[in-house]
Amino acid sequence: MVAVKQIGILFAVLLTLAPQVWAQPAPIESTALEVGKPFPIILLPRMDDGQPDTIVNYRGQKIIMHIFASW
Amino acid sequence: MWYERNKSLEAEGKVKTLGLIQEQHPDRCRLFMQWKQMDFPILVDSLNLLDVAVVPMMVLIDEAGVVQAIRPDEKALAEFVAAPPAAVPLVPPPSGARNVFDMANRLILFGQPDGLDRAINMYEQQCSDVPEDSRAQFRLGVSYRRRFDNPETRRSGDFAKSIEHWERALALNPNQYIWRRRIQQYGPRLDKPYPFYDWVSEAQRDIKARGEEPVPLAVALSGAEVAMPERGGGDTGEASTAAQVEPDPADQIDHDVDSLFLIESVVVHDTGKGQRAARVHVLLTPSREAGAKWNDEAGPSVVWIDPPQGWRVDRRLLTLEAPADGSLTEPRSVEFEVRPIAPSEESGRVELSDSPLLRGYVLFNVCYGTEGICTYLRRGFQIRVQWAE
Repeated sequence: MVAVKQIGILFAVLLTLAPQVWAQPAPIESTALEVGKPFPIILLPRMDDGQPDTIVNYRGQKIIMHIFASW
Repeated sequence: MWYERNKSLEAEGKVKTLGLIQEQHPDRCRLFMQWKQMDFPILVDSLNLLDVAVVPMMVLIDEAGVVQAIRPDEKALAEFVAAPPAAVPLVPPPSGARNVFDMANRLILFGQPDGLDRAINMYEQQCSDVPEDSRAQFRLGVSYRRRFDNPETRRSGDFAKSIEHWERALALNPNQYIWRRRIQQYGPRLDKPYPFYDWVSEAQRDIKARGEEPVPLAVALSGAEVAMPERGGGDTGEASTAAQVEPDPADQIDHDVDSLFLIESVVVHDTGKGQRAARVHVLLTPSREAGAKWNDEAGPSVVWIDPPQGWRVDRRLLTLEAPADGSLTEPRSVEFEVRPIAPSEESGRVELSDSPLLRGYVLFNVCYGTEGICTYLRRGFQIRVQWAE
């Protein structure tokens, strides 16, 4: 009875680890902006002080975002 | 101007202006904003996490955080401003990392120097497992350049690795113009769409004239970052400056047998097709072990370049300029460009190598050792410029 229980636990552990053990390495998925989709919630540094910020902190407002570079 | 329009909309409480920049060095944009007297929150996406492929670009995002328009025209903008507010979902800000890459990104953007090392290892692993992962290649390049830019964390080869991974990323996705620009920033003039940061000195002058202190730049601008683009037509730019007389043609200066300097080179190729141009960065770092220091009092240290037959460089004699702060132990660098000599410029055709070997030497004024011995030495080097097929 004890042996059966141990085998059960072993299966449970294997099932938990399976996705990590057998997952094939894959390219990083795209987070490109798309009309009609939520703006990706990604932590980015603020230019002025380097602190983490995200679009979530600006919810409730209409945002005009300018994507640019100074060069 | 869009900024003035946004300001009035913002003053009326109708919109919020937000910026997102696609640059390796955010302090340059801070200087730009100070110069132009613009003020709105800006997020820095140096890793290109949002997959932005071109700039500039305007994006409209509603109250719920949903993208409503990309590159809107005036009509779409007016409709967006007039639209009733969208319901705001209750979404908490992100806390824990979502996956291994999210963790690596946080280590790069917000972590300590040892965190950057860990992130580099994570992205190295991904690039090894999935070499065709262009995003991982680009981000790894950003990470190496970030480590290179910090004198406390810089390791030999960091800049070269950043260029290597950026070039791999662009080869995998040639339509990614943000990635292309990151290479062109350090690349040859023939390949530059515009001078990247030539506005900086004017901005600093204007800001000082207003009685303000310009935002300091954490990383000094390299020659490539302020060089003017070359539009063809035989414009040799820097090549036509001062006389290029070889400083030690008979090899009479004593050689540096103690390796008082580490010499590294980084070759940044053109990103276009059918061209053959490269910008070569040569970095010299005084050896800490040998206690080496630049001896600027004795005169400038110089670099001489000998291109092989059929190839030319825009400058053969280059001076290793002392920094403004007078530091004597920091790395110094020179840059030059190499390309084939056009058939019309040379009598008799020669078979061009696809990987020319440039030879050169450094003549440096140096002091070293605990007794502070000061001398003038020569050190030779070779740089192979290889274009991928």
